Amino acid sequence: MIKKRRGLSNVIGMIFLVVVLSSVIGYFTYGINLIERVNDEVIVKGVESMDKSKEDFEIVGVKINGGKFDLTIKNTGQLPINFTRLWVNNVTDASWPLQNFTLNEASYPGQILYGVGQNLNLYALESQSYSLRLVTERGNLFNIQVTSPQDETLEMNLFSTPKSVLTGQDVTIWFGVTNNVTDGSVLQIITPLIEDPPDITGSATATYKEGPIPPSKESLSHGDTSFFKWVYTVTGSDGDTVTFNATVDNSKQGNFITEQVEIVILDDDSLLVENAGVLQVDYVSLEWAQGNNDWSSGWNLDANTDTVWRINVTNNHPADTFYIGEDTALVLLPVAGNTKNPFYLGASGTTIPLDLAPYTDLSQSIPPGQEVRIYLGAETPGATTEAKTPTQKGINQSPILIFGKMCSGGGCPGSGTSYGQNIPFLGIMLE
Amino acid sequence: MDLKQARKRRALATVITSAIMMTAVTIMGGAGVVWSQTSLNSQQIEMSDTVDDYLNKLNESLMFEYVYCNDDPCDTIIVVLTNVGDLGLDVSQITIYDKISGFSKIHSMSKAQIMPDGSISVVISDSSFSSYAVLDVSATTSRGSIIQTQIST
Repeated sequence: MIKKRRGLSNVIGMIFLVVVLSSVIGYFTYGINLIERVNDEVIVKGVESMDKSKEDFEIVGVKINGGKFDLTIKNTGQLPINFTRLWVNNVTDASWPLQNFTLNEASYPGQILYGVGQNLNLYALESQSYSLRLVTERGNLFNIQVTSPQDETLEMNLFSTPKSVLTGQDVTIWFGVTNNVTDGSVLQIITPLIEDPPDITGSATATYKEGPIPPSKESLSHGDTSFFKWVYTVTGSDGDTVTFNATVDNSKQGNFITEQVEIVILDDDSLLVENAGVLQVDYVSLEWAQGNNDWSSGWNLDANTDTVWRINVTNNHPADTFYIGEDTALVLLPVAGNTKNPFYLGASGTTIPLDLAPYTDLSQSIPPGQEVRIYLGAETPGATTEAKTPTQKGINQSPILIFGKMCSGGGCPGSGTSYGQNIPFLGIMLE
Repeated sequence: MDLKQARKRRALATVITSAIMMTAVTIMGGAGVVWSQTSLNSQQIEMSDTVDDYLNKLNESLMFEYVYCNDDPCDTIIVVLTNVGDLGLDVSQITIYDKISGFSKIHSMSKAQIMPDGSISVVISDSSFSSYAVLDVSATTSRGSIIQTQIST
């Protein structure tokens, strides 16, 4: 009997135990599930935040095309981006209300979107400045300032080559415009203007020949400089001057720059000097290519490397065409060594891979007053093998020795007069 | 005979006592279990509500798409808010204030729900906005999320 009662007590105790334990385990499991749910949501939120911070894109270009904004956007990140909206604020005209437009332009990583803004129902004026804001689906914002030249005083530079000219000689006017706007704006539509005819003194004349080259620049990013070129033929008496005055279209009042060119008349004894300057190089046009790279400018090259150069040469002779001889060469003369590395003329040069076409003697010509690009890089006259830069690193003198024939009329170039000229050149650094 | 009767009474008393005790234990134990279950259930519901509130708040993603002065001098500020999350939200209040002077303009809102990918534009006017060079702008949702930005007047 006692044994039966004990057994009943045990059963009741076990039932309570099971009920209590199952409740505790159920409560514990529920709590764990909640924590896991929170954890999952926190992780998802963290991934979303990281994705948002990983959105990366670059405004490659901003311009007004056909009265509408034309943005070029490159997705430089690793995630697709959906540009949902564009806000446009007219900074110049305060009466213009802030507007926003739905874009829904999606881009995958590495993709470049062209013509963003072209389909918007909005007409933008080149003479006014705008503040744009791009909004992405993840909530990132990107501001773009588009500034008209008339709203800012721009940094301008004007210089001439040569600064002192012989009568009848061409003078090249270089006009540089720098986007120095402090708020990081992109300048739109830079159209260079030059006063024509320019201001003169005495009997000087300046006859327009060509330019501006290029005629305009659609946009100029912050810190960038754009160069434009004009060519004038200048005549006059000794000491006469020509003052060129350049600015940009729609510029701010008083934002212009001037450059004075003086005419020099040489006496007979200086005729040799005048003739020695018949050929002229455009130093700014110098470019070189090495290895598997495209054309570069500057003065620092790799030592002991196949190299091809190219540069523009102008024939200032008033009547004769200059036929370039195959012996024409750019020579590298290391200051700390005795080697001489000539780079002879080639017919043309291409990069990636580097290649130089062989040159046939007197096959390339420069008409009077014209500019022609020449290629220099052959190991020997007429060869296709590219010459190497010296093995010795350091600074080099690098004159260009030009040979050929000045010729006019029939029978050219055979009937021409042989002509040679040494053009002092920029220093070159081999690294 | 007396001895036998005494033993029988003792045995009966033991049985009755045991029955009473087991009944009492069963009733008290059952009551305890029911109470604890009820308590656990209510705590589970409370925990679940707390976690849901926290997760909903966590998933709120509100941003200032544009905050600008609508006039010059700045007497009216327009605040454009966009919901970039997956969850609808309700903006309860926008505050424009200056930390240094203590100026504060509180703009309470009702029915300012923003669905995912939706936006609202809120116009807030105060003639003293233009007295401050920079103002802080904060928006508060009904779940308690707060976002902040600044505007130059």
